[in-house]
Amino acid sequence: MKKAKRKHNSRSYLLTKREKIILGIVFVLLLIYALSLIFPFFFLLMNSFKDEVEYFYDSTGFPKTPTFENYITLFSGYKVGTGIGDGEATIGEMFWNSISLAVVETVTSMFFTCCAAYVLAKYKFPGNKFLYTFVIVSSVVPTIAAISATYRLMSDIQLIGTFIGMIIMNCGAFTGGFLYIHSYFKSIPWSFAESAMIDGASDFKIFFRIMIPMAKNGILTFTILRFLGFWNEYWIPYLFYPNHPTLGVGLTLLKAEAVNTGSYTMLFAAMIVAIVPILIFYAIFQKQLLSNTIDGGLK
Amino acid sequence: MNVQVLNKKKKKKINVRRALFIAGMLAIPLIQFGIFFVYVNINSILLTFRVVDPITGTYGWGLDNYQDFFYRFTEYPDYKDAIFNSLMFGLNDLLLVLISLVLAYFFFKRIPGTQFFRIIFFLPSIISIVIYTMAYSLMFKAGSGPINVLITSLGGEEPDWLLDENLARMLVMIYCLWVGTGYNILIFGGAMANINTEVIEYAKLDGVGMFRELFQVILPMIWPTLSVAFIGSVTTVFTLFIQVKLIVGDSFGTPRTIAFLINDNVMSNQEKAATIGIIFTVVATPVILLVRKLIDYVGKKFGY
Repeated sequence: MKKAKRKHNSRSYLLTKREKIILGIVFVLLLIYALSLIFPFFFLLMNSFKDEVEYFYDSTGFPKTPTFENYITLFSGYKVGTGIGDGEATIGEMFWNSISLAVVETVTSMFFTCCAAYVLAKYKFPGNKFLYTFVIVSSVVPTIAAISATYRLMSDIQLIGTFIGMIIMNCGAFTGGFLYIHSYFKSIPWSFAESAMIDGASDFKIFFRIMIPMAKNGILTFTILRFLGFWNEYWIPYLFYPNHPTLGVGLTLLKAEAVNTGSYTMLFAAMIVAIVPILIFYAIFQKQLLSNTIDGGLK
Repeated sequence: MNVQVLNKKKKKKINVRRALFIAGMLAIPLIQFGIFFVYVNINSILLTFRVVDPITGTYGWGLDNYQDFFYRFTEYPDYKDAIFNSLMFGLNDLLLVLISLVLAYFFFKRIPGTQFFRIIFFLPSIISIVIYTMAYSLMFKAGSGPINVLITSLGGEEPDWLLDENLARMLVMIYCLWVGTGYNILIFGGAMANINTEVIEYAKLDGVGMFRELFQVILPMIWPTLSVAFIGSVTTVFTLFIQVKLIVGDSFGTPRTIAFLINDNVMSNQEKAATIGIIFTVVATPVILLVRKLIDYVGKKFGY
């Protein structure tokens, strides 16, 4: 705490008057910028309490007669066409599609990442170095053509539009975060495992009871990041899970409907509803996210 | 003798168990990697040689997809436009890095409200790109978007943001700057916060001003973080498309990029998508490696 205070003071007491004026101007600029990042959501929130007519005539003013009609309609089973046959989905179904996919994809991919990272970090076996190098090289080479072959593969084995297909495709171990988790395991002293082995612990027991708890901070950070990534994913569910729209895909369907019918205020309500869970999530894990990603220098 | 045999047996048993453990832990990850990385990437090369007869649906092998690509590249403007747009977005990303770097410097100086800014600047990384792009484009919606309302209330004429390719490109570029600046400020600010304060203090006592402090003291110390951002700008040239798709959509004035052309054909013509992808991978790989080398060289040459 004292160190932090010293850090803070050391950066400000040496400033000249001119530099303080520049800092003041930058502060105002950053404040305007920060407000611009939240203004669109204020605009959405305000207009979500209007009816279509009021929004049409006065989109920038406060609602004169606030109404919850858009939210009520949305939660009373309002359906939007998926564009696949006669398929339709409610906002509840979109929520379920998003949450079920994000949770299962996060859990499976993190589990396999931990398994692979741990074994490659802690066990000597033929091919270990080759595998590790191959994974590093694969993360450097741009694979912009792979999406078409992936689509062909998923189409050939008839997994497009299936939950299991999405999980199989996204449960990869060697994706973002693998190298970090590998280095987390690498940094844990092997002496802990040796002591456990003397006590008769199996390799599985050592992995689950000793190593995972010791690397839990790093694992938790990447679990949160991966969950956010899967939750916010748009293009992959759009291509590979079109008949079960997630919130992201569903919102684009609602927007297309709003362009045709003019029901923009309902779209605004849906957008607000889609933001709320992620804001709650952010409020809970904010400290973890900011301290481990930004301050830790991950990019 | 018996004890030795017993120990040998026990050791063998442990080794077998360990081998099974390693195999068990790696089996599924390796199978998944083998299918969705190795097989898929090999198949994406094979797809470029696959020629489908549009009438019979049968296929053969040949160089037709490459011929089509180069014919279209020389005879039609769309591929050249895509390269131009992609380069513009890459340059925009470079501009984003530079703006963020300067702002991060002031952020590092601990301006008031740092915690508030941190929370807000991280929002675009938390909230879905679908929601952010949608909210952004609603600001420019004809008749009701606040930006358009402001322009008309000042006596101006509402621009056709999405119908004019230049305006649409500018709209996407501004969006990338808008959502990216805050996050980059936090990343660069985080790297700057790790610098030993004594170094900054000594420089200050030597009478170093803000400009020299940023470029001669701080920049060398955050060079690794900055180099990742520069490489990211090059990668953007070959990967950016979703922002265009979500903000402008798919219309006459859409500023299509290389990745847009690939992804636009994924569902309907995988051979064409793979061919565009492979050709640009061949271009992208040496470019990215060259930029990496160049950044390393600059870093070493100037003591970064």
